[in-house]
Amino acid sequence: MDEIAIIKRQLQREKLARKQAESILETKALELYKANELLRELNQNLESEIAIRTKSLMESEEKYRTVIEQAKDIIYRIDDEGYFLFINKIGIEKFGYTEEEIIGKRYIEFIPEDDLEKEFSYYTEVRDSEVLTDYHEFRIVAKNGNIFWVGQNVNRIVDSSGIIYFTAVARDITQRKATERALAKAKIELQKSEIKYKGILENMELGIIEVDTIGNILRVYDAFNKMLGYEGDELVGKNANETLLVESFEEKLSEEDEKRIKGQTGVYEVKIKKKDGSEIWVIISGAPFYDDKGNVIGSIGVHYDITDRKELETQLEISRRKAVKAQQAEKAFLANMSHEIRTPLNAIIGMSHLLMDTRLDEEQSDFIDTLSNSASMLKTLISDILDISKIDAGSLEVQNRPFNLRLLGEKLFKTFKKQEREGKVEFKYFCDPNIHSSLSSDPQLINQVLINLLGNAQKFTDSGRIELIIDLISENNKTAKIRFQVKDTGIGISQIEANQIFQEFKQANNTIRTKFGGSGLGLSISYQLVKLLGGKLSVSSAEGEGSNFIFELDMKISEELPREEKKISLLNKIGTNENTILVVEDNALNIKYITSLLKKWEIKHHIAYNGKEAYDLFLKNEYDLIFMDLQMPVMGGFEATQLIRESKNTNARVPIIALTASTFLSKKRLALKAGMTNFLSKPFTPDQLHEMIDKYLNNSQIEIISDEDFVFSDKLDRVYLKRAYGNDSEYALDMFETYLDIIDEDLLLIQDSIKTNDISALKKQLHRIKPTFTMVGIGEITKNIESVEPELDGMTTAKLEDWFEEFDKLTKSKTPLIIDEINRINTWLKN
Amino acid sequence: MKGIVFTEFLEMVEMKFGYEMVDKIIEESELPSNGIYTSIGTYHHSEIVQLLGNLSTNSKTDAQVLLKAFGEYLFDTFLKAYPQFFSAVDNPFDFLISIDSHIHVEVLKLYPDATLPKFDTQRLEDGSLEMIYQSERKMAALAEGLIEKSIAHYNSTHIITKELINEDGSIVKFTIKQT
Repeated sequence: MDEIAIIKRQLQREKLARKQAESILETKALELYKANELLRELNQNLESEIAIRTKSLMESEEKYRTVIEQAKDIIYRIDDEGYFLFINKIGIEKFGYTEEEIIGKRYIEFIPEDDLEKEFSYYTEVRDSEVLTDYHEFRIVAKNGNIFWVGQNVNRIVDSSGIIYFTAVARDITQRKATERALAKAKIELQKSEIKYKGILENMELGIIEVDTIGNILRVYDAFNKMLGYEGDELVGKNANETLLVESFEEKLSEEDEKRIKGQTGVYEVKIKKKDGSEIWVIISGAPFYDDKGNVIGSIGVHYDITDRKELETQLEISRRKAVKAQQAEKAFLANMSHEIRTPLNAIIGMSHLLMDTRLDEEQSDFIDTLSNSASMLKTLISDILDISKIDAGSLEVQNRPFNLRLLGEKLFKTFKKQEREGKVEFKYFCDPNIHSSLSSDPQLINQVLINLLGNAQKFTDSGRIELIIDLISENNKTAKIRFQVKDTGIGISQIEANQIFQEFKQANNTIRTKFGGSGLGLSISYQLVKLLGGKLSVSSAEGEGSNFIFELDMKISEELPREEKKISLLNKIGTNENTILVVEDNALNIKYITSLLKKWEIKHHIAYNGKEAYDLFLKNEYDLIFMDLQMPVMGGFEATQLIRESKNTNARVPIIALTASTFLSKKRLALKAGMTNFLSKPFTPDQLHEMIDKYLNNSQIEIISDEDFVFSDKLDRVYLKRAYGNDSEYALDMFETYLDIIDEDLLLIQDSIKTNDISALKKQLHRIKPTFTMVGIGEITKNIESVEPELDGMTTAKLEDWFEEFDKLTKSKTPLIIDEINRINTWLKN
Repeated sequence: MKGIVFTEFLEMVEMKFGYEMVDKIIEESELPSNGIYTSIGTYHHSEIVQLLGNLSTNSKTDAQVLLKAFGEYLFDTFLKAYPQFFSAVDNPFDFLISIDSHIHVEVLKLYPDATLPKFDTQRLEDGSLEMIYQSERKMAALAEGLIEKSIAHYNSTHIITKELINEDGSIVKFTIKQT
């Protein structure tokens, strides 16, 4: 029983052990299978990985070989002794040898002989220094003998077995080397040229500085230091304007600085201070300079010392003023001469007119006529000399008034006809009857030209004819073209001479002067006068056959009747008995001439022999008209007029007519400026005097204002004044009076500023005073100031003084107007 | 502990004492495996301790003697199963050295979970071999049996001295001297 149980247990154990073992084996087998599978997979991956790696290695090798072969750079390998192991295609090309010729050769065989020592020591150094990589530039000789530069990067390589060799990548840098050499050469050239120009600049006495945008000095050149007495970098860092500029030029310079910032150049003259404080004039040429981005970073100023030139300018200015003064003196002399000669002549002419009004027989009348005409001719001749100077000065006045040309010619004809001597020379006159009886031009000038030409013809014609021919060439309803001819049968002149006779002081030839005398001015004056009248005087002539002087003028056809035809009876009474005229004249003859006429016309008058007497009489009597000579002893006409105008007298605005022998426009202008109403040139005819009296005595009543509102004088800017003051005449009066109170003092202040050259004060004063003028209706003075204001900085003291002289005169000339206006306003307010 | 130790141990018991003894020591022991072993399995080493203890009691034989006898028995088994290990060398010392440097390395490849004793070997100047057994199993007697049989296998004669380095028998030094 026990045995069976044991066997059963044994069997059971064996069975269970077997199953356990089977189960373990099954698990193990599975594990084994899986491991096997994994292994196989790994193996497979490994194979493909190897394949890929191998392929990429091959590709990479291929790639590098291609790169090396196709590289633009020379690639080669040498051993530690310098023998070539490898060289790529480009290297072979560059060297010009075959691959076989290079491989195995030593590097020194390709080095130019001159470089051998240098390159050998370089090679040895690199080899022994164990430098891993290095850059080196050297020359190589190709097979054909050409030498080229290469720049080479060399790597020192030690392989696993300890063998040293070098791999190098080299590039042909021949071009670059050439450029470098060229650049180096250019740099040297540039330096040379810089030194050269610096030398030139320093020797040119041009002081150069560089400043930044706020004017601080960056660099100073020697010549500038020398110019101002500084040394070295003493000025660097200082502000140029503060340190160097003379104060009165600050504004000028700040304008220039602004220009510079805008990138503009400029040339200007200023005064600058030397180190010792003395001042010099310099001309500065300033130009901006820029940084890389084109911004203005400062400016260069080139200074040239022009002190000497400025002094010369001042000297010249003084000389010029002297010359101007001399010229003025000459003019004054001529004017005085004219006055001195014309005054007695005036008396002769006037007297002959008076004589004509007496009872004369025919013969006496004829004599008087001749006397009168001769005096007139004398007057004309005297005028010639004056005319030339007037023409030269451009101060001849061309009038435009209606006249009868036919009568003008007739008068001339009569004058010359009387001079016919024993029938040897016959005067003839023709005037086209179709010429309009009233043409407008300057009859006085035409008369003068014709007198000259007729006189000239008379002088050179011993026998035969002298003809004055006036033809109508063409006419429309506005203008007529007239041809004047003066023909003679005299000695004539050659064509060459004809070209010269219109020049001043040129007569046909020198024998003429000795034989015929004369100034030689006549034809020249005639030529100039015709030119002024708008024509051209010419001559056609043949020697021995006489001459023909011709000119043509375009004249307007006037609708107004010529004055000559106004039949003014000298016996006509004018004005009323209440009218009184004051005649102010120092010349007894003239007094007689005028008073005779006034007596004849029954006009009450007083006589004053100088300005002082005139003023005294003015204060005591109420005159309706004053005739005032200009040049008189004790007190002249200008001063007397000013006294009258400035007086508080209710009659301060009485018309004053200047009597002047001067034909200079400037004199007339002065008269008007002094407050005179009009002028009458001596010598004057009774007609002209009558006309003047007529004008002022008969019209004087109209002057009284009849309008409801006060009307400002048309000599002032009445539009502005009306707008400014409206009907408030009291306000206007206040303003006008204030103007008078301040103006003189203001002018003095301005004058002082100019004398002390205080430009800034001057500017302030001008600016302050400017509107004052507009307020009293003399805006032209405001405009005068406005026109000078921008110029002030650049003006020299001399120029400023000149300007002031004119300005002062202009301003003062307006004073009578203002006074008149004050009086007028007062009168109006009273009424 | 590898299953081969248990199956071979029980084979030896059956051969020497009959299956009744095998049944007896299994029944008397409290074995998690219930005494069912296969050479390729792995079992807790306390089981062999219990089986050895019960055999010692029932056979009235010292456990160390039994264990040494088991070593001698096991050698024959190894020789039969793994002849390549023995034919690779031609003398006992080379073989003994190769246990730790070669045979156990191979065993671990096959059974990564195996707990093997460590044998540090050193050739001494006098030509003997010092071999230090080291194992928490404290089965130096088993090793001794194996060593003796190995030397015999290569027809050599040696004197083996045994010295406890650790009192508990976890480290034991064998000195093998050729005679």
